[in-house]
Amino acid sequence: MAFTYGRAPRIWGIVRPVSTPSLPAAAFRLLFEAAPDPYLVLAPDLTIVAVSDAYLRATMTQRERIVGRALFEVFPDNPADPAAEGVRNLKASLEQVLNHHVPDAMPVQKYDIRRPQSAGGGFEERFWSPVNTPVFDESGALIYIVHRVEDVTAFMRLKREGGEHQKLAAELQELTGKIEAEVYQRAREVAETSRQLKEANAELESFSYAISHDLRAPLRALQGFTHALHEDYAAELSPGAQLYCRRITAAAQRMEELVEDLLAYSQLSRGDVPLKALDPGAVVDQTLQTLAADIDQRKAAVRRLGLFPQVMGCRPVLLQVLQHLVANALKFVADDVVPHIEIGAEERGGRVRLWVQDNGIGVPQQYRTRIFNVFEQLHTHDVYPGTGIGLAIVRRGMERMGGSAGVESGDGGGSRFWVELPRAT
Amino acid sequence: MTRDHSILLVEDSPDDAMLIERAIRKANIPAPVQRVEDGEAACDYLAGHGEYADRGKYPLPTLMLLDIKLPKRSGLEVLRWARREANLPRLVIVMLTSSREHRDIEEAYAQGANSYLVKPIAPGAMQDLVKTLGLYWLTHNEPPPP
Repeated sequence: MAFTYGRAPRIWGIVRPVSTPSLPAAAFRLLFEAAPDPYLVLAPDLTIVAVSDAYLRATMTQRERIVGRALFEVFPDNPADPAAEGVRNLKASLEQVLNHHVPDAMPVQKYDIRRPQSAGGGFEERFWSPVNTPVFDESGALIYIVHRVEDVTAFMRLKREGGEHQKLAAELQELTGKIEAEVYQRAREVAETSRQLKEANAELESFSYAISHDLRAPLRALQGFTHALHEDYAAELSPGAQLYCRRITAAAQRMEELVEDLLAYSQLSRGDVPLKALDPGAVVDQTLQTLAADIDQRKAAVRRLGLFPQVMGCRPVLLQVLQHLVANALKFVADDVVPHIEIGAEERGGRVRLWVQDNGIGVPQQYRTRIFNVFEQLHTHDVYPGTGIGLAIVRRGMERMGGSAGVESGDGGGSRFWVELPRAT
Repeated sequence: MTRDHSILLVEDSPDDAMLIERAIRKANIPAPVQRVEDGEAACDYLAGHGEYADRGKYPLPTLMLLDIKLPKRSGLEVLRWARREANLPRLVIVMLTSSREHRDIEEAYAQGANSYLVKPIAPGAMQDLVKTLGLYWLTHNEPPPP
């Protein structure tokens, strides 16, 4: 109790003798019952002795059914709510009031009320803000407790919804945080993958280096000693032994081609491919010079047609590409057919297409993509020897130069292999 | 071709060594061939360290055939050492290796190799190569005055 600020001490509901003649005693009952707030008056034994209409409305009860009955008999806990503690809390508060003769304002309580049978029975969820106030007689004895409640259910629901909004906002924030963490994690993973790729690349590089050194050494020995055997001991070797020597040599040669092509392919994949304007016609000429011996041997007719617009490319790579294409055009021709090869160029949009047209065996439609894969061969080695890497080198080389490669049926049979590069401006 | 010429072959592979020596023999190059098997031995030989001090037995070579991938010290290290530290600017150093790697070729010339040859595989090719090599460096080439 504070007596500060000179205010009169507050005295709680001391029942004074009805001394005002203008207000009959019965009127007090009417006034109480009509009060706009919900009130319940309890005897010290917690029997309900009076109740306001507002209280009856708020608790969906009727006066004649509750007055004279024990409080907790009328208002038990909701048996369906295992967390219900309304009865316990209210009891504690009332005991506090009874023992200490001071009012007790309770925190907001969930205290479900019984729904009348007419309204379907069961319990209805309610939140209350109760205040229990002792009422003393003139001797100071506690004779009643006024239990005033405020129905805060709507507020609590709002608050709960608000809480849900808050919860939602918090969840969103958490999600945002998670996404940020995820993005961070992904970025780290990307960095890690990139590091691993670089490592793998470096490993591949030393791997190729090792191949170029170590895989060749035994091949040299195979070739060299077979040759020496043949040269130094030819007289002592039977024709059968000489045949074996030749087969060893051929196998070693084939292995050597494989190693060479694989190396070229891997070098093409990892090496620098600087692009600059170049004349593809000159590269075609160089290609034909390089393959002059093969062209002569096959007695092939090779024609260079028309003009070759300048392209953006890397000369050694384009040379490699064209060598493979022309070599294939010479190779994949039926034995009794004289190879006719035409090489030309045409502009297509901003690109220049170089093509090599042959009169060879052609490539069936369904294999036209596959043949550009590494080790993809359509024929056995005996028919058309090769490593199966040539066209893979073509494709990779074109990719490295920002170009493309493909094959279509040639005019009047054969194949027309093409490569495209950006036109030089 | 004078009798003063000699060849130092730095080669760790016995197969390759045998084939190269055979090729030198077959090419009728009358220069004696000494062989060491690793980079460190090559440096010791050129510096005349240890047993190599006997120049009667281990003459300072006119031509060194130097592999790149070698135990202990790589051929490129031997090359660098010979040019920079051993003060052997006139020794003809020919890289004879299986590596066709651009960086090896670049490095070899940058360090002062006279020539860079890739060991051939094709039958008889080693013989042709060694013959040309011997003819060029030991016969046609006019060496710097001593």
